[in-house]
Amino acid sequence: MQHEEAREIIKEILNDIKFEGHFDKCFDNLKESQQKELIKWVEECKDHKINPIQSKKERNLIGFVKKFGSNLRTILTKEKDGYFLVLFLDKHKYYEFEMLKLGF
Amino acid sequence: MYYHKMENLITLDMLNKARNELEGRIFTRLQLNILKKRLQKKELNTNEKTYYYKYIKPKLKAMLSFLNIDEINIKGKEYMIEDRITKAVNILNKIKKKHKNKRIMISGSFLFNKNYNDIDIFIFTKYDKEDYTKGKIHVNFLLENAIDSIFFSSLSEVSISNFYYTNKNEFDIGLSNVLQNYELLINSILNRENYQKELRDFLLNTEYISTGVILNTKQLYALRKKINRIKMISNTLINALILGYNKNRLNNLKRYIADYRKLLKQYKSSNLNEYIQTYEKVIKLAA
Repeated sequence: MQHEEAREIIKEILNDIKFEGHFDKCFDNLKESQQKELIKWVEECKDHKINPIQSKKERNLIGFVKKFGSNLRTILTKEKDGYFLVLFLDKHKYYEFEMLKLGF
Repeated sequence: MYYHKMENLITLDMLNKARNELEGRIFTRLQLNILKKRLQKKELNTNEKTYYYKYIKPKLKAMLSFLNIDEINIKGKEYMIEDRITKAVNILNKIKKKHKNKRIMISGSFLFNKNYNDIDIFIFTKYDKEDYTKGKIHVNFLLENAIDSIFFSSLSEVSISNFYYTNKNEFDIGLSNVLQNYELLINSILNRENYQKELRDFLLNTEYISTGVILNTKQLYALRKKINRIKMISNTLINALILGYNKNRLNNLKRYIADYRKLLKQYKSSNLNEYIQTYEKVIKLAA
């Protein structure tokens, strides 16, 4: 699956979501099974089946995190009683910067 | 403690093996005996010191110049496997050629553990760069300000580098940082993901806030093998928070407990339950 198609599917699940990190490049580098896993995980986040973590900087912000192999990481952020905000996908180094920035 | 390259790169074992080759050709028998004494960390008398600094050390320096070795800083030699030191120095010299004028450090299990996965190399740069792996070598680029972090202080305790530095040994680790470490660690374990990095950060921070000790990489490696259950991790956090923070700061936990109770109504998540139970125990013990 290419990232364009994935973006459409994810937008259908989460509505108005932003994509950050090197989403396109990293998504294209995932194995097909991992791509499916990511989309299933997004659905499960929406269905309240994934463990949330709360930001230490912004109490109203929660996130869901997932690791793919040793290098790729994803973060999905959401307002507590509101909308999903951003789906971030990148290498672990940039994930760590992002986690610090978000207060997770 | 810092060691100069020569005392690090030559071991007693190497001296004993090469004695026949060295004696008469490069060193006299007396000089070799003095070098041996030095390597055994025995005190040299005034005459021996003169011999050492006037004749022995310059010869060693000249010999090592063939190997293109300069400015090698070895810390925590007592924790290292002897033959890994020479290997690490060779790797460092190769990396130096590729990354000229950069501050480079080798650390991690390669230096002290018989079995290792990667050889971790850290290069400190002004601007961030993409890490890379070549065979077993894993090159990590870190920003120069990382040298002031507790991570660096831990990492450098058992390390070989091409630069000198003064380790910072006092850190202000905020309560929210420790909670973030803990929550991510528990989350990773529950998600059945690799949690070694989270565990390392957690153990480093909790040990520091509770005892003021900065664990080195070998100590962290050993501790990581022992701590493998969620309850052990939660108890480690409880002890660290009680010892490391006063009651007023710990009262902030009440806010997190209230938030997580609310979240639990929407998400029936085991991580939230664990956080709540742990923070409640801390508040009870701190009261």
